[in-house]
Amino acid sequence: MTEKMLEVKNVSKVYFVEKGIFLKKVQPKHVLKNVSLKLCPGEIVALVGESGSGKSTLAKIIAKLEKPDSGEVIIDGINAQNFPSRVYGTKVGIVFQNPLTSLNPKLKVKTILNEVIALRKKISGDVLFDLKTIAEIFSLDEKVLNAFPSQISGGQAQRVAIARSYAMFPNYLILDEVTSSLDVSTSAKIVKIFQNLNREFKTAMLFITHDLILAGLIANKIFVLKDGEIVEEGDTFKVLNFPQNNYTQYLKEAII
Amino acid sequence: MIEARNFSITYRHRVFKKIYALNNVTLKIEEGDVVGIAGESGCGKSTFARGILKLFNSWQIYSMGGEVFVDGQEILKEKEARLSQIRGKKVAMIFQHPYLSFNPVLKIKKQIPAGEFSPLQNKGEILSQILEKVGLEERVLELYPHQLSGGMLQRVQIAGALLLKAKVLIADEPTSSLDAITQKKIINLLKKIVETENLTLIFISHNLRLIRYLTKKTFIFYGGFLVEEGPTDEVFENPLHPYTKALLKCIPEPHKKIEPIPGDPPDLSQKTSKCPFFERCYKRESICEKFPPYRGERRKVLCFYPEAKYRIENNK
Repeated sequence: MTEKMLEVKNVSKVYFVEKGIFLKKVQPKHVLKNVSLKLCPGEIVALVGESGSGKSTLAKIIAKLEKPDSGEVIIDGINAQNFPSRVYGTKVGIVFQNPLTSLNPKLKVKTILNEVIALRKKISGDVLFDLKTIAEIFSLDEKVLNAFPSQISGGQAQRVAIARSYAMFPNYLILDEVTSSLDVSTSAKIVKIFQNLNREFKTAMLFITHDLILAGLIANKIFVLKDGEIVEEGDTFKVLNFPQNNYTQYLKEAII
Repeated sequence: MIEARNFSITYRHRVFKKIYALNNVTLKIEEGDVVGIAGESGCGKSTFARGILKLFNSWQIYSMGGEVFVDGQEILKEKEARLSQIRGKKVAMIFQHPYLSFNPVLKIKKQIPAGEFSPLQNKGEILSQILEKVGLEERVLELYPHQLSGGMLQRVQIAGALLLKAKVLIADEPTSSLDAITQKKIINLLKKIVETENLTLIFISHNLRLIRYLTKKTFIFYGGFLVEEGPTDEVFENPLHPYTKALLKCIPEPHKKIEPIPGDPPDLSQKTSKCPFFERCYKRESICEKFPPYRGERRKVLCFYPEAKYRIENNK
């Protein structure tokens, strides 16, 4: 019996950057170098780092939107590449930074959510959440459900995007900078929702952010990513209060 | 320096016809002040900043009321040609999106304003001095915007303001698209520049930590209304308006529970006759169905029942 967890094992990724006038000079850029991390059920793990440190690439690799050059992502003991992509949606959900670009502008919010609920039913046969429950969890009222994504505010759109991922009831949720484009009060609202989901449904979350304070508030564990390498990991309290690595110290000093 | 009296802006909207973005805002910013404007998205912070320079297209505006003075000069009724003497030269603005603020097909050197130099001064020398002040190398002048990072472009925007010797700098969310490390660098740069050049800074942000770190005076906006103003330390330590109190509880802090404000921000397409915060206020009473007065001396607040301490001080 294998342990239930999401495991990233020695993942590396190289992008080739084209340079020069005719884009002929190809330069390799090592975005991720042997990154390993574990996400157990019921945990919230934060992944922090600067822009360009490879946070989003790792998120995409875990969500199977990119292939790693080496290494593997293992979900509950099975390699992610062996899952059919539909079933994979019930295991891992991902939410991106900009809600308005990730929602289909031609569909009503109601339709967007119903589609996913129907898909979940098709895959697993049971209805875990109907539209009403989902709307209640993410406090989306009738007005929002009947609107198009362009007619609702950024905070509401982000709640819809999270609700859409969550309607598949994934065991693991990847949150890629979900609150960075929102203001304080809306991001507080969303953070509260995550805490509730984690408490009630034991959903594991990988919370990717550049905000160390937010990471400290929400996560049990922190991974610090620098130039594609994990330079420090451990218990949130320990990492934030007694950082071992110089880079973590440097990030900590950026807190205003 | 900058004074607004009953400043109101109503936008045209395709569906709702009117959006009441700013309602009767009266405030005064003295020369050399470092002030912060805070509030949720859609509270009118950016509209106010743009209003100071009248940076609108005429089709966007349904109506504009009140008066705005910059250096004693009325802005709203001024002709466009005269406004160009104020825009950039007296009041400079730094925008939020670094990549949207520059023309992508022109080199940086063509995009930063030439300024007015006396014939005795060497333009190149002044330029290199200013670039040094904002922490950029001279080679950036030969580059295109997409070759620079977000933080570097924000520095170029600040350099532009310094070149024109603007007295007032409006920074509209200058760091919200940057990561935490670059953010701190830019904030510290702004702080240094404001001190050495003796500028007036209007810093607009939803990040209340930055406002507290940088500014001396704070204005809190809600739903197009100015709901509270006062010295930054006092506003943060002893908020008077229930909204300010609720907003401060949303700031993430280690080992503290986060408390979101219940409900959603107000619908700006309807003009309200109640207190704008009525729907979400935890201590509303029947009197709050009327519109509250904006009162106070050093600290002003738009509320019938501001927090108790204020009432004792003012014998109300």
